[in-house]
Amino acid sequence: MPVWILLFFALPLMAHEASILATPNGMQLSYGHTVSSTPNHDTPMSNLSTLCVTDYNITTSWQACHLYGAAFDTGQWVKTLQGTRKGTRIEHPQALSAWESSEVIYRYEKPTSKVPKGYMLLPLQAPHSIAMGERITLQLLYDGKPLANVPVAYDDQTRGITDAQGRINIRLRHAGTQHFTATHTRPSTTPALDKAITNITLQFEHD
Amino acid sequence: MRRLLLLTLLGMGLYAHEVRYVVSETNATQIFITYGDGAPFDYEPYTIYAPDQTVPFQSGYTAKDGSIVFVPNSSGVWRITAASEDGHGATISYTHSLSSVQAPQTHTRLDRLLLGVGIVLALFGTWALFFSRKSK
Repeated sequence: MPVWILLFFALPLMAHEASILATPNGMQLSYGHTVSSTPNHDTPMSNLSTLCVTDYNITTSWQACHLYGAAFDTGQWVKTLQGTRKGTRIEHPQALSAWESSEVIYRYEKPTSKVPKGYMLLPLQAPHSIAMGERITLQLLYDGKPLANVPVAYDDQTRGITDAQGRINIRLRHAGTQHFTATHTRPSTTPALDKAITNITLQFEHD
Repeated sequence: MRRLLLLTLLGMGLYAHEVRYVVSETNATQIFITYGDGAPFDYEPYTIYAPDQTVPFQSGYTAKDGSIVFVPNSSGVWRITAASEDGHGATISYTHSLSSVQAPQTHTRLDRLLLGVGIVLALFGTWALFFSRKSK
């Protein structure tokens, strides 16, 4: 006889969020929680590389870029019955799953015809021309080829998956900093890991 | 009424290192925590603080389905934190009111049988009293 009264709450989590922030000292890469009520953890970045796309070339120096980019690894992890731990199946042979994670972020400033290699979450319209409440079309690419069936989140909430052309339409819901993040999961090439997860973020400011 | 059924009460003998336990069914609050794609936030540590308390009321690991179940014993704002080492986490404020949760009324067949017998006895007693006075 069921006599438990359960009050149900379903709550999404906040994750570390990569951002490229405009500061008086120029653009700065930030990686951490932007919501103050969320528990904070320090996750080291490694293998950091930067990218600057202008109208005529792609460099690594962040100066007067149309598109600012950064990529870095955030570690190797395993899921155990006592939570997520750093490491691989070598250190944790009883792990339920094991993965490596990385981040790629772009901050859009101006249109450019150049598409960088590797991951890219590309706006197909000039973001600033889209009115609030209208939809922006994004395309997820890897080395210029579309990635299908990849979930894309807006403000940490998944809004859908990319179609066969790697495209997705998402409605802009607020002014200020816009964050779109695609999470691409694929088999890991490291033997002691199951999968590799990369978050690809597109960020821009909108009035 | 918060405790509805006391199903089993098992008392072990008075041995050293003994552990006694009571199994009961009661009201509970269940919180599901998920990753952004809806996957459960499974086997991750959490801590629950009762209103205005700094010592945890409960701590542990989320279940396979990403859920936490606890039984609030006071009204007010309860605080639940859950976080994984790789940077996912949530702090949840949940306002609980002890009077807002009412248990459903449940009756066993024995309850109904005893109720029926009681009614019959009450009617018989009334009838017997009435006719005993009338015969005098």
